[in-house]
Amino acid sequence: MLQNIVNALVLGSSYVMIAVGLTLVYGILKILHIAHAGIYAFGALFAVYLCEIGLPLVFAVTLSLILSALLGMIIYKGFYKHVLDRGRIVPLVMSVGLFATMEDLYRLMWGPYKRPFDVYIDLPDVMTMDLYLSSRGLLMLIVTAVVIVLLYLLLMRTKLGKSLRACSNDLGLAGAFGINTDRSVAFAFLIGSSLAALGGILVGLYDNTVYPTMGSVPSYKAFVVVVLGGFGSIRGAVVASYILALVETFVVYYFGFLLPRDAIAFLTMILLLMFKPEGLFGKVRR
Amino acid sequence: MSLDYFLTVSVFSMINMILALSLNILIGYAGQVSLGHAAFFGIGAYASAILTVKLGMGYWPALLLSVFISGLIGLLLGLPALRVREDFLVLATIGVNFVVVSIFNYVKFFGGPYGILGLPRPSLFGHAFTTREYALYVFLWTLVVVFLVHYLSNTYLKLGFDALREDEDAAESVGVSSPRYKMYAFAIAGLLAGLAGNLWAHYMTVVFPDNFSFPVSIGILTMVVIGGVGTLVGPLIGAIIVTILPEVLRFARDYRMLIYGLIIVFTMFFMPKGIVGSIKGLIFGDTPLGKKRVEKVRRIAGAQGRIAGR
Amino acid sequence: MSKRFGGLQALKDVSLDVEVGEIRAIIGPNGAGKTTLFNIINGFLRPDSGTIVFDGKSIVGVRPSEIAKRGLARTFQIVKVFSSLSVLENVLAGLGVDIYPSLEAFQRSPFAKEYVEKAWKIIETLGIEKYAFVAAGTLPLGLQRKVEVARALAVKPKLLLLDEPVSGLNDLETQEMIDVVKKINQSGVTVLFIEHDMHFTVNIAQRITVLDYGVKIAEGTPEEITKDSRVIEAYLGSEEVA
Repeated sequence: MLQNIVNALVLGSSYVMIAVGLTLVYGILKILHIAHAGIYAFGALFAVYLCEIGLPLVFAVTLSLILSALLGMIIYKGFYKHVLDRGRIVPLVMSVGLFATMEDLYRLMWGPYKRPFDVYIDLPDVMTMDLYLSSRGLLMLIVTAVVIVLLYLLLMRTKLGKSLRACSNDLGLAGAFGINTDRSVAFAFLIGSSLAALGGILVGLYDNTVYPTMGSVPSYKAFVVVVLGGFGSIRGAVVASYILALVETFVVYYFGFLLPRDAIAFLTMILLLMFKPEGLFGKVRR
Repeated sequence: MSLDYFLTVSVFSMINMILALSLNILIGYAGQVSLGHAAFFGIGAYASAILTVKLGMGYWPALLLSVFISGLIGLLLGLPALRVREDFLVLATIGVNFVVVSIFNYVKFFGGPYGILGLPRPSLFGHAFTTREYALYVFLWTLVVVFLVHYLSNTYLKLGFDALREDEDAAESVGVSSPRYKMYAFAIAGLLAGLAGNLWAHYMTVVFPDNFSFPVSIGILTMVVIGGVGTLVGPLIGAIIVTILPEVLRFARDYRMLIYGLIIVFTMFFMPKGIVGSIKGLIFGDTPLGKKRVEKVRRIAGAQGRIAGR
Repeated sequence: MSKRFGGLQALKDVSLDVEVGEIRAIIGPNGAGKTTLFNIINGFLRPDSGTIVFDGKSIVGVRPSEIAKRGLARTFQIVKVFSSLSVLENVLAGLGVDIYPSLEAFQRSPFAKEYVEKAWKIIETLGIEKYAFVAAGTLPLGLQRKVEVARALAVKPKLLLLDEPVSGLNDLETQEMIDVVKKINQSGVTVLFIEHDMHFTVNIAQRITVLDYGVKIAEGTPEEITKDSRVIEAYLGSEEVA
């Protein structure tokens, strides 16, 4: 029981990291930012690469986060921004194209294989009678907790956070009130992308594997979370991440469901989209 | 270049044409963005595989039944579209693709990751089709589909789809029931993709879950987008390009997804109307009606004017 | 012809009887529930309580597309033309109102002679022949409003709902719209419209209904309404009467 809950917490934490960026971007631009998955994978792959060439973990992670944030920024400024006025299909299809390109680039640069994330983490493993949590899992929980608190402070207590929330409510209106919307959007991409990369790194550490297509499934699941939490709501996304993780873990544990756990997430999403498209906590936004 | 090689590439091109036309009905006509089209393709292929290999049915009844099943499941998978608006549908269809592939992968009845082997080639009067005859057979079906889609794009069905795509509320206000027209779109797309699946499966004579995974959906999307969303000729040209490009650029074979991705991104960037859409724009200017139609309308209106003038 | 509503949050027990053949205006400050009323009448929204009778039959819970087929057409406050279609196709789309639900949709071509002729007549009525082959979305607002009216006319309505038909139009365009609506009404179509523009309203409405905060506060001829003290209070207090 306890073990299941802890496993679910770890899994849920990984969803939080990706979902925050997705829901921020969707909230503001109304784009399904599918290429976000590419940034998640990039963060992990690049960090591993830097470790392999001998950089210490902390440097590798920092550098990878910075580069991922820039990558997110490039995706916004170089691509989305120019097609926002072309209806909804164009940016969406472009996002899919970007994602396909990124994934294949990683494969060409770093090979298609799964690689271990071989570093030493200076944390203890948690081992009791009925619970095992590796040092890497512990790291994931700690980092995510810190991130959630920081994110809350950022959004609620800073001027930047206020303008972000204003943009998320109504981009046009925010602009009319003198908020520099372009900068806010770019900032959303910076935060979202670095968090996604951090998520990739933490999951890479936890599973001790990274590979080019590692972003696909988790990020589609993060979309499930975004839907579940109500599009555009960060608080909703955080709560929904853990709910989905708990549901998946317990359904697999108790029912040994005949489909893999990923399929459960997708089925949940399809049903949810059909019957409660405003999310569990969200209000209807049209 | 051997004849067999040429035939194989042609068969793939033609099957892709059918797939692209099918997806184009959803995206280009009805405005329902589906990113899980490989699922429909897979359902047609697997339905036929099970009917012929597991249930020992002959090819012809299996063809009918598998296409019918795909249309029906297309209708069923279209159900989310009735409730889900706009881009949420994209997520739902991605989900459908994953669920369908996991069912193929994990449910024993569907053969699991090893797929289903030994599909028969169709035969007529006791004579099993050779590869050459099969290519001809696929060609005939492609013609049928092209004519069918061409015919439909000149009907009120198409105008109903157009209205739905442009504005759902306005469409309702002129009598287009959006659930009904979405169901039409999904059913037609399902039927056509199912046919493509059937043709593909019996050409390959084996089916695997991976043949219908999400990247395949992206491939189909690429064909539609590059050729020109909403046009008739565009998806056909797109299908040929996407099929042949990796063959021509032999060295680039390993970069298939990269090329797809770049093509998609740059098409969206520089010519969101695709090759055909852009060329049309260059030649005829920015008119939504074809030149022929404008002339026809002018003739009718002109005649009417004279009558009124008398 | 009669319509009744009641109990909606945006609309409280509003009851409205529109006579066949009349031109009726609904006016009221922003947020008075006017567009909500339209959305209920044409089926986009369901009233919480109350009934709507159109042409002798209840249309509560009937799909908007079916209501359209029964002869109720509308335009939108924020124009909703089929942007990438030509003006002609916009009108042809309206002419399909009876065809869409039947399997004839798989057979009939909108470009058949009979439809093109009908569409052209409507286009001439609105005086927009020049733009027939242009994508509707590229036209200026005044023309787009005309395209919407043309499309609505193509539905062969018994009752035509116009949601702010002259908002955003200049004086000349407003005058043209007045002529068009009068012409439409003379051909036997009942017209119910929402408008802030008092020049337009007083000019063509035979009777005016005033809504304020979802409540009907007055009803009568233009002369009566412009003298009604409650109306002046509610209306002038919040909105400029031009």
